[in-house]
Amino acid sequence: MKNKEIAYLILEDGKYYKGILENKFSKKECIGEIIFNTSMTGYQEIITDPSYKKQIVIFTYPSIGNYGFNSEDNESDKAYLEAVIIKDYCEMPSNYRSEGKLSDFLDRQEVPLVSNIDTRALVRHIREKGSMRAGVFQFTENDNIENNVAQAVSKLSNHPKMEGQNLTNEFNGKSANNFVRSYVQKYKLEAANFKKICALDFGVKFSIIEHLLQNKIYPIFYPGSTPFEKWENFNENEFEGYFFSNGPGDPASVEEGIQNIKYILTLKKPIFGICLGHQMLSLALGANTYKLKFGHHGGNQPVKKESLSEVQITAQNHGFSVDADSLLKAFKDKPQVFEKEINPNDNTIEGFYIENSENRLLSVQYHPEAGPGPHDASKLFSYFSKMMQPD
Amino acid sequence: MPRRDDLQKIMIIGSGPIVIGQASEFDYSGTQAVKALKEENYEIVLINSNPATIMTDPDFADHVYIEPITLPYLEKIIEKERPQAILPTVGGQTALNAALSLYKEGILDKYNIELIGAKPEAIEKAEDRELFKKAMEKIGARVPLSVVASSMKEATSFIEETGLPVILRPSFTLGGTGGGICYNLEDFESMVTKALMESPTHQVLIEQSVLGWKEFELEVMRDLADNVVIICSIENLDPMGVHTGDSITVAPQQTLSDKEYQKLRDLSIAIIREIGVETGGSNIQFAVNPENGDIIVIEMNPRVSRSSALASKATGFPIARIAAKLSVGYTLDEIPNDITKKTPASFEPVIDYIVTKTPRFTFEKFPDTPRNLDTQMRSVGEAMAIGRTFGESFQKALRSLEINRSGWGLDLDFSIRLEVLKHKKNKTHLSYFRSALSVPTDERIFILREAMLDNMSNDEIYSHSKIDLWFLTQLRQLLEIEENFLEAFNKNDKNIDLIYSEAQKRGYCDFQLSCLISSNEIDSIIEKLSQISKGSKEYLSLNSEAIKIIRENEKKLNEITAKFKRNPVFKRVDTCAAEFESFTPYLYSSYEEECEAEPSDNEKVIILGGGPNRIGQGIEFDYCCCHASFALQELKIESIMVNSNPETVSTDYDTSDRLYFEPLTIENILSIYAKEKSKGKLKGVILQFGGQTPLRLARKLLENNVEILGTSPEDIHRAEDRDEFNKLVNKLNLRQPAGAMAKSVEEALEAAEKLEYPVLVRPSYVLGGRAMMIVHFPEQLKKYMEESAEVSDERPVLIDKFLQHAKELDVDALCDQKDVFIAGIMEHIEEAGVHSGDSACILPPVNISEPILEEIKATTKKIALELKVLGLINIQYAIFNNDLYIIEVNPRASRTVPFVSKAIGIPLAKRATQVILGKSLKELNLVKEPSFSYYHVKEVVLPFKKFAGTDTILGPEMKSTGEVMGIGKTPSEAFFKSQEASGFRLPPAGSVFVSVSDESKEPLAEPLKELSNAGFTLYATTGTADFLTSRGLSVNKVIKVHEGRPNIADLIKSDKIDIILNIPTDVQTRNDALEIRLSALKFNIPYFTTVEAAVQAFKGILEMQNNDFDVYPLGKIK
Repeated sequence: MKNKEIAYLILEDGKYYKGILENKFSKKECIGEIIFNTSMTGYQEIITDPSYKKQIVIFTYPSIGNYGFNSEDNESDKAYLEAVIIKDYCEMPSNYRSEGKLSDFLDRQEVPLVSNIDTRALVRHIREKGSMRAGVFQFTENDNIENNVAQAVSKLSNHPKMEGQNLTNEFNGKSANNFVRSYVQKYKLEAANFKKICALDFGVKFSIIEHLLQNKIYPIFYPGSTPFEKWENFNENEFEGYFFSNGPGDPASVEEGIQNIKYILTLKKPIFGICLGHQMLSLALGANTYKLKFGHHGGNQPVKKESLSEVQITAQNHGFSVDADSLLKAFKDKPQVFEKEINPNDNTIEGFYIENSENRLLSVQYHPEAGPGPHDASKLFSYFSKMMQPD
Repeated sequence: MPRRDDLQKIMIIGSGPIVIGQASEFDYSGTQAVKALKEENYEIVLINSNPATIMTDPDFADHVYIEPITLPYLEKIIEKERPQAILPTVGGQTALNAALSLYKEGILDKYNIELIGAKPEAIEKAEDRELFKKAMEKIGARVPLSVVASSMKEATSFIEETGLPVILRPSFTLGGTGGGICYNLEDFESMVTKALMESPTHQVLIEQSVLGWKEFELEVMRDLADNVVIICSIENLDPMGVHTGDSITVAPQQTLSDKEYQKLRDLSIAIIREIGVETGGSNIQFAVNPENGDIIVIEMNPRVSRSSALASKATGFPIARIAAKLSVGYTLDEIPNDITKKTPASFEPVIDYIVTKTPRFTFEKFPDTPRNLDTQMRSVGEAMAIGRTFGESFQKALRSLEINRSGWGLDLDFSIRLEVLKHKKNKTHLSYFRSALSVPTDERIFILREAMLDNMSNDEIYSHSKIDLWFLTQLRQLLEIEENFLEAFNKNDKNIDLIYSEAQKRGYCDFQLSCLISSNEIDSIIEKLSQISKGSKEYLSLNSEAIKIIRENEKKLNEITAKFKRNPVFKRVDTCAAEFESFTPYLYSSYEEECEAEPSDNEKVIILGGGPNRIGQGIEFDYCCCHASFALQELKIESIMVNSNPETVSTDYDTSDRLYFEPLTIENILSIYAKEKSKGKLKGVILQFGGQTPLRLARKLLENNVEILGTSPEDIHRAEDRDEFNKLVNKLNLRQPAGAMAKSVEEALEAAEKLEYPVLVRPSYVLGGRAMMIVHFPEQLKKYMEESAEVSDERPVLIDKFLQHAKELDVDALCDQKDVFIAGIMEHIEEAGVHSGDSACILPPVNISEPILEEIKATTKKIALELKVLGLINIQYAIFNNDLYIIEVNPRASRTVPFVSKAIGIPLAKRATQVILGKSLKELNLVKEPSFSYYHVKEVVLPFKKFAGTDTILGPEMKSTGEVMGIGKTPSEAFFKSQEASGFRLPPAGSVFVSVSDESKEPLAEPLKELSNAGFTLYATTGTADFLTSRGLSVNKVIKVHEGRPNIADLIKSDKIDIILNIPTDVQTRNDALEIRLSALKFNIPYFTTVEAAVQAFKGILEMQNNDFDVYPLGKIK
């Protein structure tokens, strides 16, 4: 702990925590929505998951960095989150796949890693008060802390809230399509025989792509929040199904994305949506979404088919949720098949499967691709593949 | 799926006596299961031979049988009770094996009983090595190359293929009994023979060694809807090669990334499905190659296990309780999570702390056995600790072990440092480190510290020990903190507050830091110690000097830290890393910001538990602590439990109103006391139920103004301090063996000379006869003083005249400072010289004359009143030449409290708690002495099989790990059952070998004659045979081992002997017969080393020949 700098985590309600900076922080300041993730493994996947854009992530597991960092487990090309808040940083990782330290990676990404925080106290605070705006700040030695905190709080209150933010514009499918190509090459997949689908990129995780390809589904990604009319090389006759990816921000604000989905629904092809994609599909169908108090972020979340005892343990990462009643009301005519999944912890909606005369829709709030997390729900990808099978 | 209504009556099988590999964790799981099924309104039948269990309390199950867990008794109970189902998965391997044999013998079919929790097919698939291997191959999981050998030939041909080392695992045994790692051909034959012998199916698995791989365990649960969840992952600090029960382990796993962890998770789910465990918990062990991540499945336990108890305590998810609910049809989503109340049990616990479990060994009691660890479990208990950093968790766990360690080093145990110093002087320290790091022992973790201090690199340490670099880095970080602290302290650094706080966060206590700042002085003391002989006056005074220096420095440290010192806060264990609110105050301390203790406004009492199980202090004390808690709850007083033992009922968050999972040290207890005192009315601390651990803290607690409830520490001191005790004995005009105290070898020799040999020597203030010995001549005494005793000025050695062939008795009584209630007078079956914890005893007594009994009662009352006992007292007496002698007075709960409570149907510890809180014995209606219509025999279970080369003869040092109870209409029936329950099968016919001392011959003549008349064949050595022949018995002469062949050892080996009776005359003949006793042990032949035990056994055999036995439900005894 010698020679390490101090940084402050400051919340919009005025609470602040003094921590130790484990890496470089040249920006001296970053702001985002503070949330906590309860996964005990998988910090690398979480840190590189685009869905965490504009968020400050607290890891509840107290020792982070144990197994280092490698080039295989990334969920995207970079770290999208604003800051990482932990209890204890393990500087000397031990794992045969480790290629370096977590702090070095975060250095390159200019994301501060703040340790020595009573993360449990912080999490309890957020559980009570809800997720909120927060920032990591570094002050010069002799500054008056109280003044600095007050200034920081006013900065935070001027910062946009997560509600109403469309954070998907930068995801244009390029990096995703590159990953598809390199994965096909690396594993010498015979992609020509795969089912081709159109995938809307709102910030897709590489794990999703891997699962699609492993199930012989070849996705071509398009920028999800750009009107489809502007998409290059888009030929709707080419695709056997459609996929809507995960991504950051408030789903209701991604208006062009929702319009795209509304159009795709008219194509009557099998559809699969995950996380933000699920929310936007619901919105396109006429349902509402709302902000959860502190969301679901972790790898131990139960999901239950409403009518059955079957429970799957899933990875989840969402701050918004689909309103169940509005979803039902959205259908004028009752669908032929309507199966709903819920999270028994709080009975929020976690997914649905709908079959009616026009569509077959598979939509889940949770992450069947895991990355990180349990694999219980990975069979959904093969299910999607079956949906595309001609009857 | 809802509760099954087609079942009304369910039988639960317990795990029997505490043995190595199967300890009180199964009382925890059994009690949870009973409670869970009672909540569902099932009628519960319970069988367990162990009286010291909470599960056998008549308050829990409907029909409790304390009977041997063997087929005849099981069938008898089934016949009587007619349960519709048996739950066999909460009673360890014993229950699983019992259920399997009920199935194989057709008893389940006969009485139309269903096994719930695990079906016979699933049990066999998991337990039978060959079937397991096939199942794993089917799901594509790798298992080590292996062969199941039923013969030496099969075994040999396997190693011709694979080479050595290999690991031997006998099928169907506990804690890997009879298994081990075989490195060379010389050992191979004998090890395979032993393993085949140990296995009830005469099979041994010989497998390719994955020594040095990382070892992981996952706790898995499944319900009838095929939902599977992982409750906890565990990583072993000690890599493959050390039994997981003997390894230091941490939870959750630390060194696997998500990708690698999920592979283990996927495999676990596939395995539980393939094996077909329909409902409940299983434990699956994996080895992972640290070089490339290859995974090998080691084994699976299709039941609740020691690890699942640990996982339950580590996460707050009660595996056994949930398993019981699943077994009657519920699914996980239908069961609420008790801690969060609002969320269901269908989730996976996540934790926001690190848990460390450290094993507790008792090698000091088996000095002839090497301290090496391998795949056979040898530890007798464990401690668990919780911290927010690895350092905090790890050091707290070591501190909890009750081995005089304050953490990872920095304490008064100089033994390893002396050893290192010796090697350094000889320049052999590097080779010493290398071999000590590569061969796992109980001391390795401390030797590793010395190697690091000697600048051995992590890579080199890893190359010898294969302990993962993550652990090594974490440990070395601790040494850096020590270095920083020492430097800051010496320099009067203004930042010492930050460094002190960092040290606290990594688990350092003030005592350790005081040792640290005394380093220079201690180094020079150790240097001096290395030059003089152990046990000498100078040696002892140097030790006292070290203590003095550390105490001085502790004051200095306190002065400096007073300005900024902060107490720890208390965090909650909540299954969910604070995602949901916790309604259960299950707490651990940490040096953090926010405290979640939230003490209540209630009237409350703190109970101090007993810490890790060890020989001499085990489940009996946990039983008492639980009862204290139950009594408080009945009195509407909040009960607050403090304990560090994950294997217990007392550390179930359900047992007390509040639970602090903490080391039982003065620093930790004072912080808890301060926190609880800050709100509500804290009446004080009860420490008479937790055995020696809390008692040892009595005076320090008093010095810190802690209110102590019950007998006052001053009066406790009067019973335990030799001088004070002598005064008491004189004052009351009682008789005790002549004795003296010695603080050095010189004083001891002088005293023994005066008293005349043989003498009994023991250190003061110990439990379980630790280092107690009967000494026959000066050389023995000298050796004892040098090697065994931990002597100091404060803790001298006691030397007493030994009363040879005296009869011993134990008395448990209750006193409210006005009246005394004599609860039980137990007559020992073995004569004086055998530790009371190792000797069988009978209640009520059968051979004690009325006047002596009256004298015992009167004396007990006198002593209890004189000591102003408030609560329980235990007194040991001896009858020598018809005179009554006081041997020992313990003003606290004794080991026999549960046994007596079960025998008289009065929960003594509960009543004692009521007395402590102000009820009088009269109010509690404890006026009349209990009467008996049955006899009760307590018999012990000994762990000799696990400690190669140890003599099995009993002595004044306690060696038993557990106990059983036999109930009968006659003393013999009770004794017979106790033998059956403890694992000896007394045959209805066969042959007896007799070789006894001259004085034992006469009293044995008649019983042997009856046995012979009943059809038994007698074998005897020359002297004994001649005597018996002269009494008209027909005897076959056998020669002794050294007299030629075929001798007695050959007879035993060729299965000709069913019972062995061997009573040595003295030390010399004792050694002669060692081989006989060892082969008896090896072949599991009942053997007796005292006349009384043999006579009772013979009587029992004859009675059982003629009569049918019966089983007697508890509570209905009266």
